[in-house]
Amino acid sequence: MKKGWKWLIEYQSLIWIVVAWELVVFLQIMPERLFPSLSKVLVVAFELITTGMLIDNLPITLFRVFAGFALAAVVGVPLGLLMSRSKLLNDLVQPIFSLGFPVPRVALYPILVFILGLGSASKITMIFLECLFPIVLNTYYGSTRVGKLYLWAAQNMGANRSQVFWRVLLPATMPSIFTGLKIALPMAFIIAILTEMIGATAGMGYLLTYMSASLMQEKVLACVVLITVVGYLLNLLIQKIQQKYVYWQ
Amino acid sequence: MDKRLQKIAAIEIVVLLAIWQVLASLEWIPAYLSSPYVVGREMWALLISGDLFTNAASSLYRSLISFLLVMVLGIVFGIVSGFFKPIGTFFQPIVDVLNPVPKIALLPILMVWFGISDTTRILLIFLTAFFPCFIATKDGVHGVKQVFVWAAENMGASKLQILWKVVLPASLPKIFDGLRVSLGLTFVMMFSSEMIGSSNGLGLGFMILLADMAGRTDLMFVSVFFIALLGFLFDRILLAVRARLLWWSENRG
Repeated sequence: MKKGWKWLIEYQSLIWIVVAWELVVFLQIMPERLFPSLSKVLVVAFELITTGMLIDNLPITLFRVFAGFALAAVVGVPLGLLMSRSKLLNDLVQPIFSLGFPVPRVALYPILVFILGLGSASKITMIFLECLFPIVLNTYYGSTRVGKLYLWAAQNMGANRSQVFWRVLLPATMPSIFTGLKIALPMAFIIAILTEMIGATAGMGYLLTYMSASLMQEKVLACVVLITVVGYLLNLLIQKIQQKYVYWQ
Repeated sequence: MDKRLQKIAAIEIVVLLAIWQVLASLEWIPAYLSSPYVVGREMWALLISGDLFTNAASSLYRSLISFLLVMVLGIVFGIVSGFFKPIGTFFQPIVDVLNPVPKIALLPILMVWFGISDTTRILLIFLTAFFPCFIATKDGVHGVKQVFVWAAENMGASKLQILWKVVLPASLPKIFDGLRVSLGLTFVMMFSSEMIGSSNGLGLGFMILLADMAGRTDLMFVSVFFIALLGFLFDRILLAVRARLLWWSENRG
């Protein structure tokens, strides 16, 4: 009971928002067509789940998110680590990342559509490009900041190159790698929704634009609620993985 | 980035453009990929006619107004909720829930409430860019050494003086980290809010949309290049301001 009360106090702001929202609906300050009550939105969201609309679209979006994200991680982490080890590679690659970092890369998406079509390929490429930057940069800066003392100590104790890498450098860089991954995964989800809204025939972003064409606000809001829940869960997932594998932090 | 890397960057860009040009003139890549020569020619034509400026100006107007709002509201709210703990804990759940939402999903709703107008776009850009600034500011305030605050209190500073003269400067490095992320996002959302929802009017994203419908990839490249250029320029401006304001800070951009 006491725990429940504490929980209520901690999350009171959310409750106030819900109350304020329902009051606006109840007093009919905004026309109901534009401002549906939250209970109605939840009912519609539940309908979307039971009628299979969610099952039809969510896996497609998640596939794009994870494919792009995984590709970026598989390419980005080794690239970042190698950049910190090899001066030549760093000289070649660093300028591209410094120049490309502040540029809004999504603007390339319409051109990618021309090259790769409207299907998953262009979306996964876009997600890959967008995720690559935070992963590479965080890995690179993380591994350049690994204490020299650790490396010297390992070398002194007779560790060979691969041992130094696997036993010292990689674990010491792990927290920074996860910082990059934690920025990249929500980004991947945002880009997936965004590119699906620009043009797609399936996926959560498509579902959202499809629903908004019906001009029924409760349906659109239900989609937003579902997207919010998925985004929140993705965040939670990467945090749990981090806690499991970087437990020493 | 030091002088040497700048030189390498310049060489790399020239080489890339040269390869693109050669591939295009040998017709090894499909015609829709255009060529640097054609893109340059179109860009020059648009620059002369002034179309590029009017489009860029209305895009910039949206993103800079939003960025200004983000700067003011993000920093003020961030400092207030970082310094006064009860306010911070009160708003924390809202931030936790709203932060991971892809704000672009709100576009259809905002469009119905405010119409397909600049209000909708500015609001959308603001909502996206607000959170990084707010969270970084709050983190920065939490990182301010308590000793500084106590010292100021001892010397008889009022709450407002402490916030303005101690807490704000001490958290500025973090605030600039957040602002840099926010600035990048304003340009991303500027493009997206113009692309989605069949906007009509002026804007670089709208230029891409029009060129896309007409199948004019050369014009698309021109707008993409200009969006990239603007994003890059404003990032440099922010870094320059940061270097000027934070001359005392150790890690300068």
